[in-house]
Amino acid sequence: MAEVILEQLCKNYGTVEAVRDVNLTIADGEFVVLVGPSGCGKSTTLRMVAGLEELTGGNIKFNGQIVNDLTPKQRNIAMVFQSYALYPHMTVFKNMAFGLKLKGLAKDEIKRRVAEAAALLDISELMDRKPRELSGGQRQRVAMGRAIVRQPLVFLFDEPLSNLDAALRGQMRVEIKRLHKALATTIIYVTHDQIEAMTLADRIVVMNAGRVVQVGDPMTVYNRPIDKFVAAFIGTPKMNFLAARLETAGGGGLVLQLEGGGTLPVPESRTRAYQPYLNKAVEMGIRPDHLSVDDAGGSEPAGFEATIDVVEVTGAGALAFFSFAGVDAAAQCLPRDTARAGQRVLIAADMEHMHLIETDSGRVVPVETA
Amino acid sequence: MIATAKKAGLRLWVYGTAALLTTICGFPLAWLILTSIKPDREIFAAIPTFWTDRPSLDAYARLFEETNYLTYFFNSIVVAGSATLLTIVVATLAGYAITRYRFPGRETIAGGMLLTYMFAPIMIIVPFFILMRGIGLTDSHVGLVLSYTTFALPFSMWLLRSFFQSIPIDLEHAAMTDGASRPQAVWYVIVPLALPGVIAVSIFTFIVAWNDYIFTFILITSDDLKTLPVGLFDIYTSSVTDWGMITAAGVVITLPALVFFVFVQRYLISGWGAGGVKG
Repeated sequence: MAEVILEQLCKNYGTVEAVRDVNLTIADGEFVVLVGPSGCGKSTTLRMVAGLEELTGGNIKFNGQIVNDLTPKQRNIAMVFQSYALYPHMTVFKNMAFGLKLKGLAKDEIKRRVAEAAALLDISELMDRKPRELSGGQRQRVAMGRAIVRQPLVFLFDEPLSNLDAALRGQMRVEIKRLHKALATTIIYVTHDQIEAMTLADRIVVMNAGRVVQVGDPMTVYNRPIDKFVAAFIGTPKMNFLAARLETAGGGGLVLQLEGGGTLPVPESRTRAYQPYLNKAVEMGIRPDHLSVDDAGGSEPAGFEATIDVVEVTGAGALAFFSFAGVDAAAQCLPRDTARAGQRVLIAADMEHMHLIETDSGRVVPVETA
Repeated sequence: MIATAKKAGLRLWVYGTAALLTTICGFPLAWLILTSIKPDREIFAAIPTFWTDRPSLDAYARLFEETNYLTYFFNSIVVAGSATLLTIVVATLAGYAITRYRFPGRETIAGGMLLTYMFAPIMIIVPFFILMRGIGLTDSHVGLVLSYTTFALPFSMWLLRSFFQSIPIDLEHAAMTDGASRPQAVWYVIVPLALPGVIAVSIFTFIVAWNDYIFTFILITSDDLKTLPVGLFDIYTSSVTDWGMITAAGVVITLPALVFFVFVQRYLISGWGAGGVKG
């Protein structure tokens, strides 16, 4: 159990800055997920916490104590690797017992702890097998078992599910979450998969180009992204970005004049926040969930017209893809709308969920929450 | 039916060829062993016989009683064994270091290792002797062991380096996050996985040291310190050529290498590598 603090963490490889000025306080028992595209520095950050990479600058503290110069052994962490990294020449039992043996624990104690972890992960029957005789999912469980038995201060997961197929990934996600509940140990988890980040994390740390872009609980990051990068990275299907111009409407309110044609009213609550962008080119960010192919055709609908290219049915719902002012976008529709590919339709926007994005900086203009 | 016949034909061909090759390789060894247990009269018979009706170990008795061969034998064991151990230790550490540590000139050193292997020992034997005399290691087993290690090392390091390179670094990192120090990670995880390489190195070094004639001949002067190849040559060049004894000496010099190889070759079989990391 430990509180982990990263202070101005930096890592350079020659002239390449892999990690820049990362500051993060992870509470004891918290499940933090570092997420970002490949090469964003998330794995490097994790490996610095593990003690597998030296720091170029900054500090790492476990429970207030600086651990920068401690070896992985001295840090008392446990790590699960994407490649599983099981010792191929040892049985499952020996793989799990390895760390305990090195600690010099008594044989009975080792047996007890391995058996406990094995029961927790449902791998008790595999104890005498070698890693090559296991399936991918089983190997991943053994790798987690090997981490659990050590009862470390911090668990570090480096893309542990990336080599599993989709169904198994979903199942293992649930198990990892369950394990965290049972063990209540601090977890730092690295992934490029934003769904893993959303489903697992107490707090998400979005990284890009070696920097931390945004830290927050999953719903905050999802609903109030700090910039266009986070807005685009978090959430499936991806957020739509439509070029527009902010103008005044008749009644003192604001409207967005879309580049591809159409006028959308800005909610009144945002008038004050958006005022500085009046008569400027901006981008409107809105998730496909908040755009819908509108059948009703009521009076003055908040929407715009577009021609549907493709409709993708997901089962319960469907997504209509269209091109708008040269930008690909998507809106939700009903599965029966499949037939409407090629048709020109009205797309209605739920403007309460829109984001205004500065064109040059990519910053999402913050709004006061009610 | 035709397929089965074809298969049987192929099998016959494979086994036939294998048997022929084994005979070609094995015949001199068999002849050596058989000659060593023949009475003198049969050895010199005008029409040589393959089998003997009266096998005897007289030649061996003469070998051990009348010559220093047993001393040479133990010297060979000590020298070849020590050189093998030393080479394994140094080559493992060096091969590991050159694989895992980053330092300027790493690739140059790796390439240089192979270059030194290309020099035949005979080319540098004279400067080598002068060097050994300078540090007072002529006429000693330490000098011999160091010589064999010197010449076995480049190839051994090169071989182990390629083994270490094939072991995923994640395994080592896993061991270290599992609470192992670097030496422990190397000892418990890396070395067992590179075992086929270590065995290959040990066979190579043992054979180099066991078979060496020239270094012992140049460096060793005391009779007590001589090894088998030089001892064998001494017997051959002594006043009367006792073929029975020479063949017995030949058997004694061959058997340990044979036993050593039979003992370690089963560890050469790899196949441990798979399954630890993905795929």
